[in-house]
Amino acid sequence: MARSSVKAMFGLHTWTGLVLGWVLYFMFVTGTLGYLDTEIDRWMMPELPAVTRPIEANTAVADAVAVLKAEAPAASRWQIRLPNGRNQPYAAVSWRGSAQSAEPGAGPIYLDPETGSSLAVRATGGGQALYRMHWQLHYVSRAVGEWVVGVATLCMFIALITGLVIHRRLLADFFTFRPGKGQRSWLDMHNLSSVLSLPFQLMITYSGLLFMMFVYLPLLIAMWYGPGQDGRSAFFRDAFKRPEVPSAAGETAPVASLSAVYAESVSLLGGASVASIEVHYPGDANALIIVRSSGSGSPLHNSQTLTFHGVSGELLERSDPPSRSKVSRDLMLGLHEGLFAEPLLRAFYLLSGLMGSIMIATGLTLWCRKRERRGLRASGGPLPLHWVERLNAGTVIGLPASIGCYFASNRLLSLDLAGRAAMEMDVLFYSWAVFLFIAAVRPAARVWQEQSLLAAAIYALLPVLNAVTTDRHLPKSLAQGDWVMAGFDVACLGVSLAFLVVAWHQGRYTRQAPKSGLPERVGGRLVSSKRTAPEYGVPTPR
Amino acid sequence: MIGIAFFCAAVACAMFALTQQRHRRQLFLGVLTQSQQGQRRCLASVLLMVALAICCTLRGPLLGVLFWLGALSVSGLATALVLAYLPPGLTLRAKNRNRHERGCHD
Repeated sequence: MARSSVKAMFGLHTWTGLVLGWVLYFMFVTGTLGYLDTEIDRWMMPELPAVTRPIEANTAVADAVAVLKAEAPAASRWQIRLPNGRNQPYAAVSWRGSAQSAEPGAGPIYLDPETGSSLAVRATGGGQALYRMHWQLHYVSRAVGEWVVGVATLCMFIALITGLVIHRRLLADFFTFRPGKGQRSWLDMHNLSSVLSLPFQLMITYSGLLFMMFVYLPLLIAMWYGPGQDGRSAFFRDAFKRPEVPSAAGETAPVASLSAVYAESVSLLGGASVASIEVHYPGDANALIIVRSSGSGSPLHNSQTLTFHGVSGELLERSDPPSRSKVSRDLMLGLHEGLFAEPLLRAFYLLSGLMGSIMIATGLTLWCRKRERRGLRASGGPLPLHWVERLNAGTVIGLPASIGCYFASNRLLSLDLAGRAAMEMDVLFYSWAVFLFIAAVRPAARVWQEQSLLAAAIYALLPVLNAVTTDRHLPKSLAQGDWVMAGFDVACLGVSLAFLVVAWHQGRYTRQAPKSGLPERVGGRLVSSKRTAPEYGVPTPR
Repeated sequence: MIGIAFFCAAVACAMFALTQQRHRRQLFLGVLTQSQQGQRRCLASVLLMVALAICCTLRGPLLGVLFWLGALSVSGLATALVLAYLPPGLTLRAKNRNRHERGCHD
């Protein structure tokens, strides 16, 4: 490839990676945690008992109906989520209020696996809030969030492709990591983390774009189905074969036996497990029951839908096999979500997500390191570099640390606070703002070390907070074989240790280079210090 | 069995690394001839294919490929980190083999 083309690719790689790099880092960290959403949910709702044996779905249906009849007899819609392995360990119910009712609805309400009664759990965003944030962001409307995430994903995709083109020694440097060599080490780690997880990164960005294609390509729908919400609704009905729900008749009629509907669904689905049962207008003559199978058994995400009459229990409709184009889209979505992944494969997903986060973090740092050298040689360093460096420290370390604060708030906020779940999210973002502020005001040479120490302290405190505020402390969890609670506590200690290692490494680097080299503001003007860090004394390997 | 697939992938990655000039220099190993390099890379490729075959047999073609890619990532990362922090782990065996190849005896 021509030299000018490679240079153009290099520029594209650098700027697409940098401009939305912090958004991408946010998406990767929260998305990676999304692979542990159920486990985080469980830790953040310690009232839920450990599931020691498989829950009988048939019993769960009967329990759910009893709870719904008692709690929401006049609801316009009931939803029952049945226990379904790792992704849905508990049965849960939720409902939507009727048009006449002032209450909008409630749920999910989890059911006790032993007694079948509803469990009182604390209000929390849990792991689902973190997972949702990676594609919806927070404090912005869903549409804005999706567009920002879409543009960032496109930038990531471009950065990956251009990165492949500009990485001239891809095979020669395949296993190369040279620690302790400053900029060279950052570049090695950037290359290593991206090349070794490249199939995952390509899949996750491409499927991420596919996930939201109906948001990013609205004109295609408008062209065929007409503009506005009506056109979109018609398209989604066609594309996803959603059952038509008639309006309520206004005449009362008893609901068909959901246990019988469940039993018939199991035989019709031929091995696939039932994930949810929805009852529209329960108690009305026009009631409709929609049964959905679990699509998390394979990457193909092939969920089937069965529609029954809500009074007679007669089968009305069965979803057709999906078209080839839908199968290919579902496959990409299934691979992206990884719901089918068993523990070992989930660990690979987690590792690849972490490597993606490292790739972005090292890319951001590398941008600073390179310009630091050029800036010092020239005019003492540009001001934006100073701020990019601070923003990097406040985000790369500050974001995981503020997620630790989010976990801590789950244990510290009063259980009867109104809007408790929203407050937990506020804690996450306020603490992130504090980390960014600390990064902005502290000396550049110390900021990484201090942030890492703070993050290590927060994560080390989480198991302690858990032990003090709940009865599910680590030794008890281990003794009871409650591996989710114990695993979370141990993981927190592991993350704390990792941050301590980063802090130690940064401390060693600072001792070797007493002056940061970054331009500092002294008396209102920028002053650059002479850099003596080892990275500047090391000749660049050929 | 999946452990065997991982072992094959790890050995293949180590073999690929030890055919690269940079890492041979790093480990004070002699230069390989073109044919030696080709043979070892072929053998490493065969090991990777064996790992893929085991994964696909055990988990089916789709999940098998995912497992295989995961095994490659983990093995590649492990190889890079061992080369960076614990090179003696690879050197001792490599040195002995190298001596045998050159007909050197202690």
